Amino acid sequence: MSVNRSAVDVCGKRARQSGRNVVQLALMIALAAIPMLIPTTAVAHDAFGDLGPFYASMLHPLADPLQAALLVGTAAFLAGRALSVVRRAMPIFLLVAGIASIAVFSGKFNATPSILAGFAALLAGLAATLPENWTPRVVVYALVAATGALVGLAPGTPDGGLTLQPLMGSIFGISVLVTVLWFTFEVAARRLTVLLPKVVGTWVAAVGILVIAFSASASVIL
Amino acid sequence: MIRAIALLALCLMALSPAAVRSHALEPGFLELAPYGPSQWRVTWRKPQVNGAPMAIEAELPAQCSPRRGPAPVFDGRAFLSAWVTTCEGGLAGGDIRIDGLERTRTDVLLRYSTAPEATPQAARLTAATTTFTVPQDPGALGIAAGYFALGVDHILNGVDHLLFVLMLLLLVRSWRPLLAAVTSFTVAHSFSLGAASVGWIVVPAPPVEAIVALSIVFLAAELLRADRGQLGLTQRYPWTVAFAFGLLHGLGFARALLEVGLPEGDVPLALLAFNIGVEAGQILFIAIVLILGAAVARLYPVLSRKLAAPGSLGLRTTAYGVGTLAAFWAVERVAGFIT
Repeated sequence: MSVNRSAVDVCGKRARQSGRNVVQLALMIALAAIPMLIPTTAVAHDAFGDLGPFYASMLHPLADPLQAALLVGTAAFLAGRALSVVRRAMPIFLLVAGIASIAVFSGKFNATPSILAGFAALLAGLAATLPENWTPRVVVYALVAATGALVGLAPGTPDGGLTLQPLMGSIFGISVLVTVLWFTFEVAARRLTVLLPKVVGTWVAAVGILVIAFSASASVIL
Repeated sequence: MIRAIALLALCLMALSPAAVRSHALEPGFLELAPYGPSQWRVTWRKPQVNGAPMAIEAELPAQCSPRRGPAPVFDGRAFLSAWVTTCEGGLAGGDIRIDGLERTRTDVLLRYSTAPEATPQAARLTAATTTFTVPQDPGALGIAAGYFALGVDHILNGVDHLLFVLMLLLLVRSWRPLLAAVTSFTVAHSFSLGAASVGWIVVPAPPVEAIVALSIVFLAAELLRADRGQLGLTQRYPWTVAFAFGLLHGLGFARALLEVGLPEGDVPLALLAFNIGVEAGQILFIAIVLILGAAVARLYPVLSRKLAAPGSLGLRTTAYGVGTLAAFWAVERVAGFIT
């Protein structure tokens, strides 16, 4: 009886291992095939052809101070939270930003009104100055979801409609920038001073206040 | 000491509030791209203020006609107008002015080329400086800046070169051999770039491009070999492999430089600036990859180990993905010059 049971166990293990191998193989083939499905790979020489739209979208935060402020504010805010919280907050931020990017690139939404993004920057900046135990997990997740949505919407609807390169560039740029910024602030907070993310937060809050003031002031020629 | 310096730097930044104000708004953008003989395509992007275009207007040099563009169209974020202007005698020496900019707190970025073969130049107009005079001669600094930007642009647009560097990063994990490999790659491609640019080496571009693709296939295969616990050539002699392939990649960089052309009388300067630009782009890429890797390792250590450990699904997938793509390029490029 016990021999039969161990034989069944062995067979089960082998079947599961075999299943995992098949899944791994399928995944590898699928991932390897994806680049082949991108038609621009046919352009030799520059490998992917003109990457201008990809880089333009990727670097958009560097040309859009408000989007940059939101990214920096979110990264500074997360740098002051516990790792266990950031582990969940980061995917939430990236997921919402990705969905918002798809929505805005497909023309479903317009760019974020400046005043709203200004408020979000102010909120993220101020939140970055708060101690860790003042920000429950739910608040952290809600805040990063909100800033993620606004960061994704920031580039506005492109002229050419939904095209792969600018969309991928935007999502890639947001992901890379927020991760790099978070890590830089986090390391600086550990190695230099814990004040650093808070100081960055106050700068972002200041940018938010200025944007709100400019947006609200109809009489001032900007 | 480091903490004190960091705090001092933060305090100094806090003392310059203008830095915040000047970047609080989206800037305007004016581009003049050569279009035909004595013609330029003008793109003028005005920021929007409360749903209306900002009260500023671009005025081109007196020798251009028309000097102003048509009514702008809202593109969802800013007001855009585009037109073609004819400038008899070229742009050089002419004044480009932004009317009304002095009454604002925003900036206008200007990007222009004086000729189709000239490197694009950039300038920033502000409320304090509303007029820009297009220089007759870009000068040594202008040439260096232009070719530096070209070098950065070339490496960041050359996905094949970046994939080669990425494979090198994945293969060589210790920092000393990695530093040796990256340095020898740099030295090698600087050497062949210089030699090819001044005409000491003349090699047709298509075979070079094909071998560049093959070099990536080679490193992808080496990555798979490493997965099986075997030490490949790259891991045993990282700097030698990087040097050999660096020579080939340098020939590829030279092609980009030769397409643009080198300014007469300033060849060494342009060559040096281009090479430094390539290095800067390469270092930027390496830094971003390393920081991203460290960030993922900090956030998700288990996942990072599973993805980056020798023999892991992540490394095998990367090796197969990059190898397949590079093999495709190799076949395509070989087919291109055979047919």
